[in-house]
Amino acid sequence: MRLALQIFRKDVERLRWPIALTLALLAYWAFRDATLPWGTDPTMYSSGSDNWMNLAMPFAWVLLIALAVQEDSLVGDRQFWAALPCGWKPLMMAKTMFVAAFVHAPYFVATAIILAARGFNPAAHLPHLFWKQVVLLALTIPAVAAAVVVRKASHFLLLAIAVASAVVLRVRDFNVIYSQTWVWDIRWELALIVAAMGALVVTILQFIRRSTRSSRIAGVLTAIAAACLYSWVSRDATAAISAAFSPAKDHVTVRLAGEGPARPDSPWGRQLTTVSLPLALDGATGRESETDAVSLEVVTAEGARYDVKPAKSLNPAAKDPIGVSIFATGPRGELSEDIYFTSPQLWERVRRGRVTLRGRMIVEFEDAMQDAADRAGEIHCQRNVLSRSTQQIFRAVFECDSVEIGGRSIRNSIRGREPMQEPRYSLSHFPADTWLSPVHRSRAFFAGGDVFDLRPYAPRGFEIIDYTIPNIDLNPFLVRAR
Amino acid sequence: MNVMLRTDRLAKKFGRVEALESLTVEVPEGSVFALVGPNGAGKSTAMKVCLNMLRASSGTATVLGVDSRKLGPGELARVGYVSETRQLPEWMTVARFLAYCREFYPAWNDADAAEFVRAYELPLDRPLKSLSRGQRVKAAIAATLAYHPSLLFLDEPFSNLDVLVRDQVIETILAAGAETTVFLASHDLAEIESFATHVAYIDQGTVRFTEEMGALATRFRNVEVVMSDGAALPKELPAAWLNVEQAGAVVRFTDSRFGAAEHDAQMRRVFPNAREVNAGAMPLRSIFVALAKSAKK
Repeated sequence: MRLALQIFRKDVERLRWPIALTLALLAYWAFRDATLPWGTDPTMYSSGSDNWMNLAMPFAWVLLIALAVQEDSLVGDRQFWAALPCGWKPLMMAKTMFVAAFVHAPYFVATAIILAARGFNPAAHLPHLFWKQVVLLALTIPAVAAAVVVRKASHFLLLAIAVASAVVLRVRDFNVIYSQTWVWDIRWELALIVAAMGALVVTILQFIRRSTRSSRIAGVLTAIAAACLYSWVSRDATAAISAAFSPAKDHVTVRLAGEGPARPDSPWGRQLTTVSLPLALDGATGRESETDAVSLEVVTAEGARYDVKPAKSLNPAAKDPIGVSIFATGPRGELSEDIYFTSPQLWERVRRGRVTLRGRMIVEFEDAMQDAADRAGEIHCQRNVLSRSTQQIFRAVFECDSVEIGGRSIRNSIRGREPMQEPRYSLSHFPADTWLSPVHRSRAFFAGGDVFDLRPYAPRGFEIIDYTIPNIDLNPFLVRAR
Repeated sequence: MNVMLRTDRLAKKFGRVEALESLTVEVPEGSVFALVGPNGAGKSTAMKVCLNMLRASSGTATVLGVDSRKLGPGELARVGYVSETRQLPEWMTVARFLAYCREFYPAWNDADAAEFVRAYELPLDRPLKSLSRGQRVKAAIAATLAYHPSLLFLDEPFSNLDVLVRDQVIETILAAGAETTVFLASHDLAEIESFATHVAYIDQGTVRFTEEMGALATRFRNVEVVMSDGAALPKELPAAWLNVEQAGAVVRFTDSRFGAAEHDAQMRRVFPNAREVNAGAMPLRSIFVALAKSAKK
């Protein structure tokens, strides 16, 4: 321990300016995240400059980690420390202390401050804060692993830029393609878990043996395994894992609702045939938060079966002839299961008779929390602050800069027939949220007569629901082309 | 005789390049053992393998009685290492550097460290990166000798040092000689001749010989034979005769086994009509030049 502290003190002395810079950056992010107007997306899905902190902050952290590790590089045979009477344990402990002291601990404090500023009691949400630390480990462990196998900090920088570029490209892609398929989000976590575990093995091996070649090979194999997992894990598997990690423990059934919410005209016009089935959930004790289709089988009266793939996008150019998505479209969480036919011939065959639908969906439930925050009921609609797309929505709803909500009914006289969704203000979703912010500020759409309920909600768990809707005529549910 | 360092057919490959082929040496306690040879002969590689900074491809090294692959903090606390290629924490001042090293060594002696600083005139408040090369070597040696290592590895410690600094460093090492065994790698033969007690010659990764300095000086002689006629030499000459050259009636060579029992008989057989034989002592440098020339042939 004495030697570990000695090395730690040396690293702190050496890296005091990078440490100060990183802490300043974290302070800026925490301040912004605690004070940004409601409705701004805290992820990188949106283009707001503050959201790029989700990339800049981790980038700063991994560079700091690399500098600390490279102070006593494990690669090569010219290191000063290699002939010192210092085993791998004090050295590894010193670097671990550095990462804990200047990455994890400050982030923990920052997230606690943000929760407090947003009206949540941090002490009541320690598991949530620790979960964010676990998520951060998925960044810091691979960073340490990369730093212990590269020869110079400059090599690490190149590697970090390459990885960050890939993440940026993937996230931009993600925004477009997977906006309707949140259940697959967990693939990120699965890949990160594999990457982090492999990285931990690489790190320990390299500290103990300093066998750089073997460690690099192990690192590359880990990266390949994580990429394969991300690419190949099935939708069923991601749903099962989500439910296993965090079961909602409700016994929920799905039925066709007698009358669903009015659906807007299909934005795809005649390029895409859309059937929208109103669904109702029975037996749920919590509020439905997110719903996603896992699978659907359409069986015609003649016995023909069509496996319907969950839609990766609403793009009519999609290759699959038939797709499905499930939306929460009503102000009280009513669901619509939309089946898309990109093949007109297929739709013509299906519409001739009655069909049976056998589906599987996954639903995330959330519970209203008791420690409702005062500031959670406050919306700041400052036109110059909001992003362009969000501003358009808010402008349509509000004609003032600041509105106190508190359960007040606000009428939108302009766009009364838009899809509706209750605004939410809750803790991050478990385990699918890997962004920095400890609070989840989802974007919302408003419609006439909405009652704003800004009570905070906490995610409760996932439920996989199998359902059968027999003998149904799809024609009455056809969505009119715009 | 205690052996502080022993290597047995130690070899190290970098890909296809055989940096060290088969090094077998024994370094007795209290000796100044010089591993000499040209640049790229494998001297530094041998040291790094002994210190477990590199993994041997085959063979073994035993340092202070412990397999080098299992060297732990306990053994390394008794081992010193100064190398011209070692990356020191250049941002540290001399004072910070000494204070940092101090914590790692239970046997560290502050008074000795202060004495080295004084004797070497080291500027405590200046970063290592701003020091001259000689001063950096002095700082490294001060930080090493301050804990009185039992075994000191010196890898080309004198290269590119001016004469005054070099003599000062050698004096320090000799002063520590009673308690410190020195294993020294160098390609500068003149500098080690004055204080090395043992020497091993390594070339292209292979040890050509290893010997006590005194025995080496006795064994090698420059021999000049003047014959009464200019008769050609026989094709078969003793293997111990190196670099044999004939110019008329005069034959010159290096005898690497001078004084051996069979020496006189060999001389009579090869030079039955020798008129005059002169055998002169050789400085270490000349011995290695002769060996190097012989190896090329």
